[in-house]
Amino acid sequence: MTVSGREPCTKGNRLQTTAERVRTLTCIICPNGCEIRAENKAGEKEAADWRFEGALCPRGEKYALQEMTDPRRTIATSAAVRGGEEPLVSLRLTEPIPLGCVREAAEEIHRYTLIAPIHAGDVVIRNLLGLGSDVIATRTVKAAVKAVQACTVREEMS
Amino acid sequence: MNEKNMQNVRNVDVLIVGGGPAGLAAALRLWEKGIRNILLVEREKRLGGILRQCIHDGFGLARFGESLSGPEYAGRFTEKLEEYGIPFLTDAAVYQITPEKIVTVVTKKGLLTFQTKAVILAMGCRERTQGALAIPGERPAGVFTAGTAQAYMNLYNRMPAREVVILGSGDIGLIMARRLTLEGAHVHAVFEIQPYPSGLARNLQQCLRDYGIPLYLSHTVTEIHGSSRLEGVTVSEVDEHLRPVPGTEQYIACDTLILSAGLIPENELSLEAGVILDPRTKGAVVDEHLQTSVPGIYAAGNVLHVHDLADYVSEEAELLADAVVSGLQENDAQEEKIPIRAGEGIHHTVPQKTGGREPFLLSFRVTRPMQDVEIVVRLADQVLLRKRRKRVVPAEMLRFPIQPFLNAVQKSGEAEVESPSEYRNRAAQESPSGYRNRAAQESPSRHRNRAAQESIPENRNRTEDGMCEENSDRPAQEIVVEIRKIMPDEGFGKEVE
Amino acid sequence: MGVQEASQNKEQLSLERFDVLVIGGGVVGSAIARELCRYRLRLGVLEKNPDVCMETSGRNTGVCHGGFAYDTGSLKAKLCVEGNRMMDSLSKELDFPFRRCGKVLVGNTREDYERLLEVIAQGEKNGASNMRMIDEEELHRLIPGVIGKFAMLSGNSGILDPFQMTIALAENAVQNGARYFLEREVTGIRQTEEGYLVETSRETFRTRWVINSAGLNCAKISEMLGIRGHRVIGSKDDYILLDNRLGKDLPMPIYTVPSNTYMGIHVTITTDGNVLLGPTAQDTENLSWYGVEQKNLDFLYKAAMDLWPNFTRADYIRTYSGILPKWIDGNGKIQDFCIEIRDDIAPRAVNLVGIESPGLTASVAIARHVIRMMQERERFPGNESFDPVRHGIVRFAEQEPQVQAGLIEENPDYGQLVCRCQKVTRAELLQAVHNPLGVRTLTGLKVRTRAMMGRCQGGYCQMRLTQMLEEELKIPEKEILYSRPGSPLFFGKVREIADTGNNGTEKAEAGNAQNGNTESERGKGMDIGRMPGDKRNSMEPVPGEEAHS
Repeated sequence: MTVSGREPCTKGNRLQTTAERVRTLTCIICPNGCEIRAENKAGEKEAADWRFEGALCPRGEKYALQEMTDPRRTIATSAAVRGGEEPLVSLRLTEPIPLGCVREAAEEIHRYTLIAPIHAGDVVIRNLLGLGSDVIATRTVKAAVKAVQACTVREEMS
Repeated sequence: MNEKNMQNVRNVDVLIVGGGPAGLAAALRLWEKGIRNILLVEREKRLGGILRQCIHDGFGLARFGESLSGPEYAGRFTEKLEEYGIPFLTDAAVYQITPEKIVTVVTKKGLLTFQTKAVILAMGCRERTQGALAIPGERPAGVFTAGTAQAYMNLYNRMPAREVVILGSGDIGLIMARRLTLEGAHVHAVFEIQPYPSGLARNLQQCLRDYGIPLYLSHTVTEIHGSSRLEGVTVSEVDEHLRPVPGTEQYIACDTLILSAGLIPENELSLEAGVILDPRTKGAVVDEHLQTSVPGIYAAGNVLHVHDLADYVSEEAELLADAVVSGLQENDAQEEKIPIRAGEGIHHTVPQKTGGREPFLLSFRVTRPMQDVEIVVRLADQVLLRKRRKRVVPAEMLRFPIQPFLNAVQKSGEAEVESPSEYRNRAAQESPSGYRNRAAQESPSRHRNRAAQESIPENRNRTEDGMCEENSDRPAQEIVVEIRKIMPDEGFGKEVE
Repeated sequence: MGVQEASQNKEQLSLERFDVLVIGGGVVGSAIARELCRYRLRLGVLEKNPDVCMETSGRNTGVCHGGFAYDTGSLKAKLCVEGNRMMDSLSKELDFPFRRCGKVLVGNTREDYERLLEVIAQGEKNGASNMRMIDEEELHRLIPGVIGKFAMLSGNSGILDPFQMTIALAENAVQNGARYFLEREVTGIRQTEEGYLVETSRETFRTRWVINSAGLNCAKISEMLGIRGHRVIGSKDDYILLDNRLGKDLPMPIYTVPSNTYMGIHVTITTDGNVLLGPTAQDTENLSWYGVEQKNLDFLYKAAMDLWPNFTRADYIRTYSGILPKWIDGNGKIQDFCIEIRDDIAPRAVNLVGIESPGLTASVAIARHVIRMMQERERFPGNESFDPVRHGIVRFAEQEPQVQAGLIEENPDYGQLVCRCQKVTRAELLQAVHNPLGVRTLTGLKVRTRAMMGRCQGGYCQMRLTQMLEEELKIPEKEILYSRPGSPLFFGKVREIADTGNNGTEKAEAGNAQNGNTESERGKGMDIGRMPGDKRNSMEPVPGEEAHS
């Protein structure tokens, strides 16, 4: 169950393309950067219907298939910090999520205000939107000491 | 310097200027090799350099086998730095370096002066500005270089943009296209002056196509409009000489122009120290130890030549640190160096000269995208390296270890070709994951930078410092790095990565 | 004293009576204000921009002219020579950079030579001195990199920093009791019994005297005063600023042989060591557009290469543009300075029209001339407490190491370098933030400290500068201005930091299913907009780009 009671994002499995069933993509697995031509005559997302040309190795075809059927991404963004030495903490996902869910994921993360101190590596949101990825802080933000000191002084003086 | 100042001079064996990926790696390596009297000086309040604002992941795959964000990658080094108790200063700016390696640092506690045995330059880069590009039109608010926009957004919590046009398809611009979009700005398009993109395939996909942001090749911004805040830009197509084609102008209303038109090594301090720069890289001319023209002053990282991968920056800094350690211990006179010449199709090399008695890493970039090529490094008839590649682009730095050759010449006269184990080691560096994560990072194209500047035909034959390209005086001995297209009938061979 | 008047009540201001209002806070307006401070007067300056020196005064070549280029007997000639003579003492009094480095006018042909002899003769008649012809050898000894066969050397010419000079004049005026009203554009002037009602975009001011020192708007203000018929056109000047690594190779400005209508393209050095190419000088009716044109950039490059080819394209730091207001007659011929008081139409109004070059050099001389004209009609009581000395910000980078160490000891903010390439410290920036005129823009900091003027053009430091403006002056981020009115830098924060519990945030407990081990709160949030899977925008890719969804 999510915090807000909303359904987890399920847009991940639909095809990215709007009209085209033939796509060219550049493989990023190795420096060869093969240009792979992907075609799906049936127009469905079923793996068996995809045909690939141009990949010099099977890893390229595997990558292309993933991109065609279920492209996934990790994203990084920042969240507000209260009481910290810095106003922002950078965050990233620990696992790639469906490309179609990126917007909601970012919007969800942006809702959070984190309270200092925050340590790099802290899990700040577990299982974001039920997508199977945590959100971790990638920077350490210490609690700002100024306010605390001021309080102490006032207390001493009163 | 008067007596009072002399009394306050502290002795430091190695002073490292800059606490980014290069400086941090050098400091750690020096310490691990037993050099204790070192000091790292960083002008910001925190260590990490440019990595602090690169919150996207993709760092560290080659080095740590993980895809980390910039701050996390930096954290791996700073943790060790603190654990070892390596001396460093933050909020301290190196103010001057003299050719005698006296370094002045400005801090809140006063001017600190250090007499050093070695100085490691690790200051990184700055970005090419609107003024340097001389984009016609007005000069309103709303024109930012990509790194400045990135710092505002990721460090200072300021949103500088709503409707955006990006000039330059280098990786920083592409990363910012995505970052801006994730923060609710509308990126209209990316315009690239060259007929090919500067950034890596992964970023073109994951920063542009994923978000429906179009990329227009062979286009540039030809006028900026708006007297107070940017109101719009005029873009035009360019021809094969990168000159705007009349009649192709289009106006795009926007409030922000992000410039991602090249990085320039930040060598102000180096120049003042008497370091000679290579006009092609805008970084120091170095030998295989990454030592500059000033003995005892070394350079690594983006200040030496712009890198694609922080992992390689750290590696370069470590090689430099090893050389510094040897230099401190042996203190031998400077030997004769053989210059390395970049042949046609090769933009530059680092190092620009080498002794030849030790293995070293040769880094270079091509001037334009090429396919099915063979790279040959030779000294007269002796082939030092022969490599084939299916695809090379200016955006990806090429790096190969070169074996010592001087002794070989003296003894057998035979060329040393890269041994299988060397090849494997190198292949491990260029691992699939290593390549993949490189895409997420800065990838400037200096070739493109220079070409973008050459809008005046008369200037085309001049190099950046005004000297003519053609140099008819060839030194007696030189190493040449050449690249040639493999003819179809030759067959490519099995050297495919 | 002299702090931004925005806080003052509109009502209060309209009840005040000024003796003199100067319209225009440029170098001439500020010089007039400063000189008027020698008298006991209630003095105000109305400036339409958020800072002084943003129009013609800040967009020129920065040269202190010798006075030979103007018709003998003209005000231009007379006031230029006077201004030139006083520049050493003035620059010391007011603490702005000035170097009497000399200047050469380079020629190649017989006609050039004759013309230069004429120029010397005219100069001598004008009271300029220290001019002589030099031959090729001497020319190249002086300036090794120049192209030319001979030149006229004007030893009295020099270079100055027009920003520092204008700011110094303005600050000295404020120091002596003048009040600057920034972001007040004059929209109308009405004559009254005692003087004038000057309407601005904000308040209406009452004054006895008005001085029209409005530069490019001089004709507009002149018309408002009822003095009609002055025809003013602009001469638009585009410039290229080059890296200050070149400064050591150029000891003085290089001009080409002048004609009556155009000064020729110059290669000048600035007091900061930058080399300046320009101006292009084109007539224009548009007195407000400062765009730099590609054809002018190409022309400047070529023309400079013919005169001093010791730079490359990679040395460009920035480009800019300025417009000089030229008073012309019915035939389009450029006139002398017009400095008039039309007692019949507009009594107690000094009308300055067409103050173009050498307005910068002559500024204080112009001011004294204006005051003489005013005194012919009204004697002003003297101000015994007038202090002509003004101190600028002590620049860390210009001091010897011992002095630098002392500065830091006294004020640790001098030990924090904010702009690295120009070596500007936090202490200087704080002084610039809290400047006597109450200027609050980013470029206001730039011109007062040189921050952002280096090769990176603020790429490294501008974030810290805007942060200082926000923190020191309590300006909300959306109101931080770059330069002109309506030039905000930011649209807001990236993340708003929610206050505890007030605005609909849910306390997200640490350790619960959705959250990790950091304390956090979850608020309402905002939609992002265009995202993956959304319809593409309307721009279609050109051929060559890979097809995608």
